[in-house]
Amino acid sequence: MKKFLSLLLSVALLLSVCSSAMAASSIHWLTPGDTAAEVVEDDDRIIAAINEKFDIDLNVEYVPEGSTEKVNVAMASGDFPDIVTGAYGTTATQSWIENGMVISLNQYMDKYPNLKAWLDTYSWAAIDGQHYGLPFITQYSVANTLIGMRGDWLEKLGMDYPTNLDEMKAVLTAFTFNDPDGDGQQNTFGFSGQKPVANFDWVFYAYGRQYGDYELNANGEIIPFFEHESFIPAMTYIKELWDAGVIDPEFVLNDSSKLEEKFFQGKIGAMPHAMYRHVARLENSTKSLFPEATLVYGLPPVGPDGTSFGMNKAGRSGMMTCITAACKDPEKAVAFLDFMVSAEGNDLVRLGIEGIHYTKNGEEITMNEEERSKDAFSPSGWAHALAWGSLYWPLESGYMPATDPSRDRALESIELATAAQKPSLVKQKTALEVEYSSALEDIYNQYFIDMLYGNVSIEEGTAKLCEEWRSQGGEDMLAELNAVYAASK
Amino acid sequence: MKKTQNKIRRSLGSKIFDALNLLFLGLLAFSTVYPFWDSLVVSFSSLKGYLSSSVHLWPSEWSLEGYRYMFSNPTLWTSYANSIFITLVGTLINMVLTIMTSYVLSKTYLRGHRLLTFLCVFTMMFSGGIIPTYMVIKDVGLLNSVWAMIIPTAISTYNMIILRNFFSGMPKELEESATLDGCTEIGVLFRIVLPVSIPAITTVTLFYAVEHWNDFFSAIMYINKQKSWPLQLFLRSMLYENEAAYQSGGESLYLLGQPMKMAAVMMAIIPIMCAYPFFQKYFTKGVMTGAVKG
Repeated sequence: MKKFLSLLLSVALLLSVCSSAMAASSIHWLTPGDTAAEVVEDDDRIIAAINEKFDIDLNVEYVPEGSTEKVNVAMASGDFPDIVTGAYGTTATQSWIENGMVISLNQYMDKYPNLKAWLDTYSWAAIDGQHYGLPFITQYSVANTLIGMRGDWLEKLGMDYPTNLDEMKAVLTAFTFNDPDGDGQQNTFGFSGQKPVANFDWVFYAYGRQYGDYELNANGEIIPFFEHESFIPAMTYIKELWDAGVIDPEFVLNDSSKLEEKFFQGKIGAMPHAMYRHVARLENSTKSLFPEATLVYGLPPVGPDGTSFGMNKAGRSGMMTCITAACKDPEKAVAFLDFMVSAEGNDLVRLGIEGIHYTKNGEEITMNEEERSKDAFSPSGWAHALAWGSLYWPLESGYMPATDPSRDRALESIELATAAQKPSLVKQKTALEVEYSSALEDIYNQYFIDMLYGNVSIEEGTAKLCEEWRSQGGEDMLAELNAVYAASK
Repeated sequence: MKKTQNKIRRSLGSKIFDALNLLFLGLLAFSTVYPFWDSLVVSFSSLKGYLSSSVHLWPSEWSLEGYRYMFSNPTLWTSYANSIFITLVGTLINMVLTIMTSYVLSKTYLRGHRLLTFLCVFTMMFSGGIIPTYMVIKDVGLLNSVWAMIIPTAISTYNMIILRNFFSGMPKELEESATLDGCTEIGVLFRIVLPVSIPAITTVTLFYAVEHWNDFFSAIMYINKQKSWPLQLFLRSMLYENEAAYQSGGESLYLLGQPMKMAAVMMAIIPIMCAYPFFQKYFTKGVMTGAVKG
């Protein structure tokens, strides 16, 4: 047994020595990637094409379950890949930069135009003028979420998709009390959302909230959004909906699948939800019980001033792809990343190799699904495993296969959601934000629920919230944010 | 003549007590069985059948779609093979090493046995933590290998102590008689001690096997290559929803309905559940009753 064990151990050791010996000439990329993408096999032709182009041996390693913690552990233990993708704006990526674990890309910017263009877009992310990686902020300038409603219920009640807050209240009330499903029972709710506090941003923006992250006071200083004049009237509107009983009381328990399930079961008539690739799925799943069901969506309702509306905040977090200090051939790693953010690189990982994975006739592109299935392409015209998760997601790229039957509606939903997106005052995440924001968010959530349930009046709750939020680190964080904001102007 | 009463007359209080007992224990049993039953029923339902009611006692519309989807994934089979390998080989290694260690440590006349026991128990209280363990695994070259799920956990101190205590409680005379009959030390272990320790050994084997079968965390930490994933990690990754992918239209498996998720759950637990009945017959007491006379 002992012999057997020691034999096994030595075999394992030998194997790892062999693989690390091969890594000398290779580019090893550790990334969460897109967890659900197809598995990249050894004979993948897209990887082969990249290898040939740059004379490298590319080895992309995806960590299970998109776990950035796993990436952090690998880095912290000194197990450096050549290229690493982690979560942007976290203590982990901050420490990579502070400890010199990743290199500055500035010296390569002149030689690599695509890299330069990318970094220029994210110029605010540079630290003392140095770019330590390629940030990729999700939903940076494009958005996805709208209020989806049962179109057949609206039709039955003789109503249109609401365009202002009064109409919205009327619709949600009718969804709750006018038996939209026609079963003679009062068993439906107008609106539901997800834990912890649902998505009521559409109310705050309708009452005049301006920005995605914070607000400005009369002196042009950054304040939390609940200190803005829009907060109390918006909160009052939400409380009216709650008191009228049109909000699903279980919303504080819903996760994303529970929320969807309630929509599919006809228990709720409206919910804020990501649209885009979900449009067809949401509608079809609802049709499984109610064949006549349709999904409608539109711009969020405007407020009392008749013009203000909004739903989505500009993204402030995402991924960051860096080249590590251990990379033996940083020049090649940079060349590869430059390619990955170029039009040519995008075409390769989304469409494939012309003549093999697709054919082009003028503007029309025909996918060859049989050939694509031999490499790591997802079915139905979706992209290669390398395409998403590190530097792009389909939403940010506006990607939707031409053959997809729900393409038009999906793209329309992005257009509407983006029109309802609000910019950020401060684009980067500051150090104190990374440290405090989740605890501060908990304070807000607690007061929101207390005000909604009527445990405390809205005026009093707001005053207490401001006080507690500021004393628990909010004050320091605002000071830091104001400094960054002043410097960016 | 009076009718012979062969039943003990029971007071009303005792009857009520029994009835309440039955009710309470029945509810308790139901509360443990129902989640399993619900998952089983949902796994055999169509999406429509699943959505049409909140309580699932029987599939209202049968469908094998969930299982069909799971079975059509080739990675499922490699991960099944990996899990079976890890469980069988891992448990074998566990048992050989644990038995040997605990048998030696149960001999109180051995010099230094206290120190050795202390060193083992120390690891129960204080472990190196994730990053140092990761570094060790990396440096011995076990990253991305199924052996990373076997070697580092080759002995569980907890199980070792269970066995050590069992061995300690064994009558000395048993071993002495074997030695008198000319049995070697190894012979005593294999011919005398192990055969009478079957209940304890089966228990520990089951502990180890279930631990190996359910282990996914060490796979997340040490194994990136999908081909070396155990079943639990593969199934978890199917159920796992990446928020960014969900929001931004990646290839997330959010498209999977609840029946498919439950099919995955069933496939993870049914094989190890099937192992229990085979172990159960060894859970007998009193093997050593009457082994020592006088």
